[in-house]
Amino acid sequence: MDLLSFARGPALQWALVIFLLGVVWRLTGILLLGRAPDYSEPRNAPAWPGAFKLILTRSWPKREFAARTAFGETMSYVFHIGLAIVVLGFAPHILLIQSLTGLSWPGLPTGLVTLSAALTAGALAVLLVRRLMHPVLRLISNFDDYFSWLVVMLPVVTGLMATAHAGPRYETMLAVHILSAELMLAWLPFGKLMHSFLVFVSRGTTGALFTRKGAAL
Amino acid sequence: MNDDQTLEQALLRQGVSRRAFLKYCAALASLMAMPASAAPALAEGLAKARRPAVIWLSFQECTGCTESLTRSFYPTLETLIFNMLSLDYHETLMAAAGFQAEAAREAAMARNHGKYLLVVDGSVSTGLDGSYSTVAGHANVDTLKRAAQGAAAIVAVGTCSSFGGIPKANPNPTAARPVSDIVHDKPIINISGCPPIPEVITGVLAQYLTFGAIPELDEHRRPRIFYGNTIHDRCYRRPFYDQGKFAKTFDDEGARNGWCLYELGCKGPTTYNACATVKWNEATSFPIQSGHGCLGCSEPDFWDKGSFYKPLSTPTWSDRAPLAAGAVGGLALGVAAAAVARHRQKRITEEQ
Amino acid sequence: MSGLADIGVRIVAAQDGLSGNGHALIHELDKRLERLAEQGATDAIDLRGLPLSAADLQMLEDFLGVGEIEARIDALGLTRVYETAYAGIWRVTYYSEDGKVVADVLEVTRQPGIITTPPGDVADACGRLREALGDLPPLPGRSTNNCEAS
Ligand code: SF4
Ligand code: SF4
Repeated sequence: MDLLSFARGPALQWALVIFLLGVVWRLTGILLLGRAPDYSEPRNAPAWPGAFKLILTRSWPKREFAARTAFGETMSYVFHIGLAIVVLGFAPHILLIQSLTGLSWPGLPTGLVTLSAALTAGALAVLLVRRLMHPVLRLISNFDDYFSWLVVMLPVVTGLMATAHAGPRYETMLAVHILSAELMLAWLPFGKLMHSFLVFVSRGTTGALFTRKGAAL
Repeated sequence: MNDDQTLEQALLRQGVSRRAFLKYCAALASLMAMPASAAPALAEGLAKARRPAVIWLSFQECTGCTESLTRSFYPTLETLIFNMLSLDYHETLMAAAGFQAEAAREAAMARNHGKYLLVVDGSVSTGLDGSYSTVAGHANVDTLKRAAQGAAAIVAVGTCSSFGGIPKANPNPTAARPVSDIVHDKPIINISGCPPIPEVITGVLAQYLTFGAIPELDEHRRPRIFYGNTIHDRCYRRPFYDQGKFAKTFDDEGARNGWCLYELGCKGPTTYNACATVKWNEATSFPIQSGHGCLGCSEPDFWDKGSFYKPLSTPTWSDRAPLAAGAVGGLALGVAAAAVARHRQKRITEEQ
Repeated sequence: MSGLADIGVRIVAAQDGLSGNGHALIHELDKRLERLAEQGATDAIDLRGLPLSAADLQMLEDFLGVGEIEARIDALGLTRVYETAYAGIWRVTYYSEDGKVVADVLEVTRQPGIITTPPGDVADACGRLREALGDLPPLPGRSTNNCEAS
């Protein structure tokens, strides 16, 4: 079996099994967690609108900190949106999703996708440098942060290289690209990348809690 | 037959004029994508070349490669066989048969020992000591080893002799193997394809003849001049790929508009061959031009790389049971983890 | 067969079909012609090795025009040679015996190789001529010399 067949075959299957197992495990584990009964009087009757409010407000820099966080947030947005364009807009990717889920939508031109990928890679690189230079950020970063960065960066870079015919022969590069994406899938449930599933859950919970307590959002 | 004649002498003797030869070289240069200004040098080299003896062995194959070769439009097979090479043994094409044919091969091998070009089509069966495929009581694998000893070089014509091809497809009942698995001490040129493009076969032979050397090969030992680019890189439908315009079925609007066939399983992006440039049937068309995706026939194990009709970016498997099992397993783990956590929480609350 | 009527055919509006490559080629010819004029350097361009559309070829043909010489060579099928209106640029089209184009070349030269008599042919012809001459009564006072050496 050549590398590409391995990547499209057993490797993809295993990566997806691990991904599903991990994601479902963590999600059910967290959602079924028992909550301590709250006997206090709620300050606001239905708490759930607060969940949505916090999800929105936390997606934007707070005015007070804007000057300090704007750069990091902009870069993060560039790479998150860029990544979404690449993952969801590139026709071969859509075909993969379609073959697994049956869902499909029109793709974007290759040029646009390539540009997004380049911007994504650039933003990711900038964010890593920032993480390394910023004393506080560096202090609170651990293996998980760096490894998660790596497994996101790898598919972007290898994908760009495959498109540009850089590095080894295309079929090998394509296989490496697929394998790197599989690494990301397999790692996703077990590290900080799980935030892709949990970010709104945790923000929503916080929002609801704050609303109930009557805290400002 | 005098093997020591130069090609020019042999051609003149057969009534092929020098101008006709020059013209032939112009066509050859054009075919091999050499600069047109190289044609005179090519002519000069070829004129002085000696006609190498060629022994052609057919093993586990469907004769498609020989069929393809006989459809080569330029150089025509006749000119190739009678003028350029001295084809001493080819079971399908020669008149002799039986003992006479075997004798002809032995004689040609002895006479040209160390100098002849060995052409092989078909894979080599190695199962049951090679007894799945025999000619005149000799296993192919033994014939190959014997014939390889005196060969100057070996040309493996077709995906079967180059990479094992369809005989080697899962579960490979005859233990079929490519020539390069059997012979290790001779230069081997693979001309893969199922079948290879006829002009590519003749082009490679002519090139060997002209320069007397093995052409530059890629990592699968294929001549770069014909196998240097993927079908996708030279495909005239490429602009549609780049614009994201795909045919979704073989008869939809996109198919009629000639859009890219990637979604219909085209393997052009990972297939190295000259189809998109040299094309087929006297440069009339090639599969993609006729509306069907590339199967990847010039690549190793193309038969076992998943469906021809599934896009390259999709899994080669279609069984989703393991994924469901993963999800169910995850659910079980999650529930168990939550139960344990709740239990512990309860204990902690009680202890307080 | 249910007939072709079921298969929708889309008529694409006619376009001029020019890719711009023909235009680029003419510029290239200009450079090479200059080199021929100044240094006597010959060159050749394989028209089939370039992505030229039918319209490009037509444009090229019209642009280059037809000069004073045209030759047809009958060897392993036809070869058509003519000088374009720009002296020094020749079009050489080789056909196979069944009339297919096997090579199509623009030569920048004072004389395409296919027209020039091959040296070997001269020697052979000399020999044959001498042989034919042998059948005729010799001219008084002339000896035969050897033409192979020339
Ligand atoms: S039809 Fe195949 S080879 Fe042509 S552009 Fe599409 S994917 Fe590439
Ligand atoms: S288009 Fe692909 S499958 Fe078809 S003959 Fe060419 S290489 Fe083989």
